[in-house]
Amino acid sequence: MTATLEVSQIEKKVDDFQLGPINLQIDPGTITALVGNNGSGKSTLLKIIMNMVNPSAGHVKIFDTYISHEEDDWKSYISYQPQTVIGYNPFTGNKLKELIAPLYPNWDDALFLKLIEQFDIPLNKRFGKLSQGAQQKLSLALTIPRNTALLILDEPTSFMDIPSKQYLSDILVDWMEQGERSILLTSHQADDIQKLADYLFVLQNGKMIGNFEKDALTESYKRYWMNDALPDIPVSGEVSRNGKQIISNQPDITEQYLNDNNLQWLDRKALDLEEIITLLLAGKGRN
Amino acid sequence: MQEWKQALGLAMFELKASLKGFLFVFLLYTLLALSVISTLGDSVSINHGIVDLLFLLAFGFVPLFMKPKEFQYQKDGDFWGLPFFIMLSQLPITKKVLVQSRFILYFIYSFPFQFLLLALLYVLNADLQGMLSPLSYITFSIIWLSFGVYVGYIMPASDAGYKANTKKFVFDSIAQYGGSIALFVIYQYVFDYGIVYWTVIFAQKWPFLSLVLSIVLALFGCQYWKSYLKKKMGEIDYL
Repeated sequence: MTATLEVSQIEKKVDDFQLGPINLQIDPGTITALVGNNGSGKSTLLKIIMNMVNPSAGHVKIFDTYISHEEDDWKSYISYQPQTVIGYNPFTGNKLKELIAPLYPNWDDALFLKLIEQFDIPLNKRFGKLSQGAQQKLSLALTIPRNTALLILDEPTSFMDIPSKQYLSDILVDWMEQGERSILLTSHQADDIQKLADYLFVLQNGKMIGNFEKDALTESYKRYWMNDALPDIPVSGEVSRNGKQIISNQPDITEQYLNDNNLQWLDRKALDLEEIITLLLAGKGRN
Repeated sequence: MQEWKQALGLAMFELKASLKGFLFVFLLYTLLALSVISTLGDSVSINHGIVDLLFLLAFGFVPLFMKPKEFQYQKDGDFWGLPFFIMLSQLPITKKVLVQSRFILYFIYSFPFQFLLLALLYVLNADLQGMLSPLSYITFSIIWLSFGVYVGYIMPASDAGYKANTKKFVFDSIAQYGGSIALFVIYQYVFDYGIVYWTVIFAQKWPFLSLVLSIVLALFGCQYWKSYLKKKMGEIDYL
């Protein structure tokens, strides 16, 4: 199966910040969340994919087409919503739709109208006069219906109210079901990632930590409440400890160790995704 | 043809959104130009520094300020760029169409004002009417309209934006504007004939040569600035 997007050995140096080398593959029918601390290079990576930033090394391919300045065809495969939309301010929603819709042959007008209605966005008001939340909603309504093979969303819900976030999740799930489409999104909202993502691509200070399958990742982290005091030496599989609590990212090995050493635990629970991401970004639990 | 139509459509899209502001600035500059021309009267020769200044501004810089503020350069950190242009560059629009649309738009902003200025100057200045027949004045006009292309089109060619911190920006501005003003002042003191007056002489004495040379320079300039913009689009990081 041809990958929708292939990022190979991408590097970029901006002043004293070094991004990469980054390798990332996105397959059709999957949602990948790009996760990282502030300033980890998420938006820069998305801009490299969109050819708005020139990489120092490496290349990006969408299907079989290399993304380059010489070719323009690749643009019709990608819809991109940046973290801060620029250039929309002087125009109304109606005008922006008039500009954008004809550029995408698979534009879904019914979906656009549905989003506008659900998000309650005035289409006759200038974009610059809308609240940040309404701007974000309008921008999404102008991006999702493009129906391209790859949808890139940079922090799509940062200014949104809770009901709108929920609605967007439902819309994106429906959108994915309608074809071999893929989404690459960045978010600091663990709930968004939990609901939507199949994969988590983790970046820390420009370095690639890994691309994890979400379910496998959440399965692999367990917290144990110990009955007995823990030994001074690290327990097999241990990534963190706090008093009589221990977190492992290899529960099978940890449990084997605890059994072998007659150490009993009172309770065992899976970690939520936010805790796992925090551990990964703190440099704990990387194998 | 299809590409040209799409480019025109994009230019008109921006123009429609900025029409009120454009018409206001257009009127303002026309009135300013009219007052300068009226001040010259019939008795003052066309060989005058103020005429040179009027022409250099009208055919070089003024069209840049015809745009309402929202469509002019905006600063984001160390980057100066046109938000609408950056937005368009993210859409599936070919580079060729995007570049073409910028030059069409500049033409719409610049040409009517420049044309009106030339027409008003001839109608209101008896000195000029005495020096140039209507046919020679057409040659004179083409010399200046061409100048507006091979010099003025540096403006749309810069639409991709540029990176400059405040220090560099101030330095560049002083170097560019200060340098231009210094050159202009020196020229006025050193030479007996003004720039515009020279073009009057060219239109009088070598109309065909002036015409051909101006048109060739305009065609070459237009192509050059288009390629320049295309190249710049590939070099700049829109971080």
